[in-house]
Amino acid sequence: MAAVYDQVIIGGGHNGLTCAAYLARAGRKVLVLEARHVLGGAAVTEEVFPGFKYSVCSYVVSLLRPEIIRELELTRHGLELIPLECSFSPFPDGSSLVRWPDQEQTRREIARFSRRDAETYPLFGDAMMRLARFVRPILEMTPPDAIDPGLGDLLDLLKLGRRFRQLDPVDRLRKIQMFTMSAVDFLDRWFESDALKAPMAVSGIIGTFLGVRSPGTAYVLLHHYMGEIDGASRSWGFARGGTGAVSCAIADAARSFGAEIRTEAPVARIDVRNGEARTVVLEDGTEISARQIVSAVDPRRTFFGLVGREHLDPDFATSIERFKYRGSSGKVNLALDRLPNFTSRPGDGPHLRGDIAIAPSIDALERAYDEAKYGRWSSRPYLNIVIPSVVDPTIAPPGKHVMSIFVQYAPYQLEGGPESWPQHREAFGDTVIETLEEYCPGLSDSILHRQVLTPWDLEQEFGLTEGNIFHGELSLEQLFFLRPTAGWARYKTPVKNLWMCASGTHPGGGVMGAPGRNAARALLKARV
Amino acid sequence: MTQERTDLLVVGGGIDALAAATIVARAGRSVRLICSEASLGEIDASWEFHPGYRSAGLRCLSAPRPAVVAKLRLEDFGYRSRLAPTTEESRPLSEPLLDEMAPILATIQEFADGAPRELIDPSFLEMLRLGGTLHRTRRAMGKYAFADALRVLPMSIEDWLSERFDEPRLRAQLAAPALFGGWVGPLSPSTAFLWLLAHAGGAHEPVGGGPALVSALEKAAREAGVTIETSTTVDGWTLEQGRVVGASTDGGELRAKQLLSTAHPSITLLERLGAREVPAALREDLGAYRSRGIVAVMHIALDCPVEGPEQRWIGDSPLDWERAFDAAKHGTIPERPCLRLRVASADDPSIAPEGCSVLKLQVFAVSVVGPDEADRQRETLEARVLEQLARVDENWPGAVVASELITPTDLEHHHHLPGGHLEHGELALDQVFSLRPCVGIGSYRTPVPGLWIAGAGTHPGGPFPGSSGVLAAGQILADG
Repeated sequence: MAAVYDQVIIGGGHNGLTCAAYLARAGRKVLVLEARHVLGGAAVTEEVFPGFKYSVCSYVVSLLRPEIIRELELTRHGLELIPLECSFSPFPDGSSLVRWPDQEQTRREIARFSRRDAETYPLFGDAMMRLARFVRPILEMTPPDAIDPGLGDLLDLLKLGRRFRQLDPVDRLRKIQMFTMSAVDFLDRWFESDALKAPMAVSGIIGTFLGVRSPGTAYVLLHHYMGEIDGASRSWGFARGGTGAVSCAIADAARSFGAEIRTEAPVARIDVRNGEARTVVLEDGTEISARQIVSAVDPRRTFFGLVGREHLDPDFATSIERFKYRGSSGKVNLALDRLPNFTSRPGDGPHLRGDIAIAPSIDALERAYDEAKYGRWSSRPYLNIVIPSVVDPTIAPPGKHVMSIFVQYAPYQLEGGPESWPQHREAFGDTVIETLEEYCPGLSDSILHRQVLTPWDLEQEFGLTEGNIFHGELSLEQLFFLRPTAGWARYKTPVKNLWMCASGTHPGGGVMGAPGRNAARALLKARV
Repeated sequence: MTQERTDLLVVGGGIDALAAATIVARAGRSVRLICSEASLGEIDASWEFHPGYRSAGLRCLSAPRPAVVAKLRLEDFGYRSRLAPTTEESRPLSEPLLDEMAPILATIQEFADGAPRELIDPSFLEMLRLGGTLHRTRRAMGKYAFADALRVLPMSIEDWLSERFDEPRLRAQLAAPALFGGWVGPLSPSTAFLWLLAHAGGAHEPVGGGPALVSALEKAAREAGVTIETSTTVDGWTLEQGRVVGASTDGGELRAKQLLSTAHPSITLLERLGAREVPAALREDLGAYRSRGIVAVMHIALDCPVEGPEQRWIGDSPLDWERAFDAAKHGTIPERPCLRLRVASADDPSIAPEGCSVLKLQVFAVSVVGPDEADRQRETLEARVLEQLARVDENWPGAVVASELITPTDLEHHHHLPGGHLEHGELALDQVFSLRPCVGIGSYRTPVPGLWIAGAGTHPGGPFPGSSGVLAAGQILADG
């Protein structure tokens, strides 16, 4: 059968769509297949309860590459980003800390806990920006081949080495420390106040099954500073209409370049003959052939779900098997009939227009992790809360609000096995509400509806293996030229004509779009 | 009274101090070595903890590197090594792993055998050398194994072992050696690296353990002409015009052209120097140097012989070890402390009366506590350790004649180990090689002229006994 399409992309998440848009923009004939009725994968907006629209999974736009916004003209396609105004951390003793975009305001806030930290905070920001500037070009790279580096790879590495040497020696040391130290150890070098360190440290653990004291978690602290250097007003924000609006804008861009997108088109398997991927077979039996098949689902689903072990080299199959997922987070989405009232800052106010972190202390965060190691969800989990309806009235009925609560730790491997999650779902939801009640008494009375997503639900509904929101843990051994495995981190796979373009490849998860863009570039370069 | 001025004053009575003193003295310099204890060896010494029963040092040392043995001619002074005892069932499992990783171990050893290599600000030449090292390692392993080793290094030991072994009890046995030098549990990332580091020390150990090594070193030092003075307490360094010219001690002021201290880096550079003499950046780095001890040591006198393996790991599954670490992390006492059990009297029968035994237990994991909690911690911990022992052999608790428990709190207060860490600071990816104890003093030279540093808190640290002493001595001699 002759190939009808140049590329068929499996999965209509933001990376699949980004990849499609770039390919279509280069004149390729592209088809995107999405299993669900709605586009976006985990970057999706859904009206879960009548009148209430939720960014069901991913809830803030943090790392979306500015070049993607620019090159795909996403603003023209309807993307509107609303910056988060601040980071608010209430504490159990009734105190609270708010970090604002305004340095002087932040300094005064921090000084209530520690004068020294207040002075150090901007210096820390400066240092992080310098390091983020070093990291940024790496996000746009196709990683070198770790098994058979060619001349180009060596040149890339040399360039990296040279840029590293151009850093100040102090920054060089910090860079090494960020890859090896724990978020807490790293922050301890700068700050003394737990009230500041705890909410900062959590950015090191989101989406990993590690604690704030686990070595290697310092690295992710950088991500918070990545957006700022791109000239965006703030690195973190909402998309008007929810995170799904990002996916919709990318989809619109892709369509405008001529890409074809089908929803409710679940793929059953990829037909492989003689080591060559030829055809995508849909669940309804339809066969679609293309010159290349690009998978935007995670590596395990791609190779064991769609391709089949029998078509893989055993060593490669083992390495894909060893790629770690172990989702550690869940999500609770609430419909509220009024705004929450925090003890530490009563009433409405700008503090509700940012993200709200329930991270009472380093020890509490570490205990939350400790419980999860043994297969229990944290009795007092870390919560990251946003109330996007405060700044985007389009997503809730007048006067009502949506509250999105990211919850960590909720281990996929529960004591009774992951399949026991459904029977604990509501108890898990209760834990989250009880935790929040301690800061926000009376919250329960204002809840109109509640949606609880456990890691099991994320896997079943959104196709995220083991509920990992990043298509595989973002730990040091699964990054860059090791993502998803050494020798196959360049978007190409050992199955001929099969490519990967999503968060299971470099540079990984988050609503960033970089894997999709990098994969499209690699595909366009490849000789077929 | 000002004494005659020696070329080098070595402060410290441990293995690295003796090694350095010997090398420098053999080069014809006058060397005086002082230590505060009544006998040499510091935590690797042996003492009578109960009439008729002696301890065998607090650490379980690897044999010194072959180059160190040769350089010090240790074998001329009675030093012998032997294959370290391991649990019968774990050796056949760990050996294939070690074979697979042999080139990585060799690379770690190559690093350990040389002066610390500049990793943060390498010269062009050093970059070429590093490139060469990587290239050789890769060629020796093969490209696939090398890429996989890069993946393994930052992993947790439990994650790595889980890929190969299903049986939790075996994984616990295999993982345990990774946990005694850091501040980690088996689920902590980078423990795969710590496991390799522990094994890079080699499969051999001194016959008679630390005390026997100390005794050989003492003979070597005396033969080289080192003046040794024990029971001499140091108050601080003597500075003249920004240069260390000696030490003030309870026996008066001792002057020397150079001074080498093998104490914990914070003692050498902050406590004894006076924080004002240390550049601010270095003071900050030293303040951030982590040395949270989580290993206690218990000597137990038994009035019965002990059958069976010389070494055992007690802790049924990796999660048991992790739970023990959790307890220490949060400052509580583990319900079930995990143990490295050594039948010390099997190696050196002279430390126990005929027909009796001495056990050395390294207890994981115990945190430093405040003075008002110390007694309660000691009582509870002793009871729980005995419960654990009863699970190994129900007759043991009844055979206990005496015991001595040394907690990290004791190490801090009575053994000059800030933080209570046996290895003078945690082993961690950012605290090894030229980063130990911190950038700027990774080559034994301190920013204060005349003052040198060595010991377990410097490159290459505790897994390689004597290496830092020999390497520091080389730097001192090269300095002229």
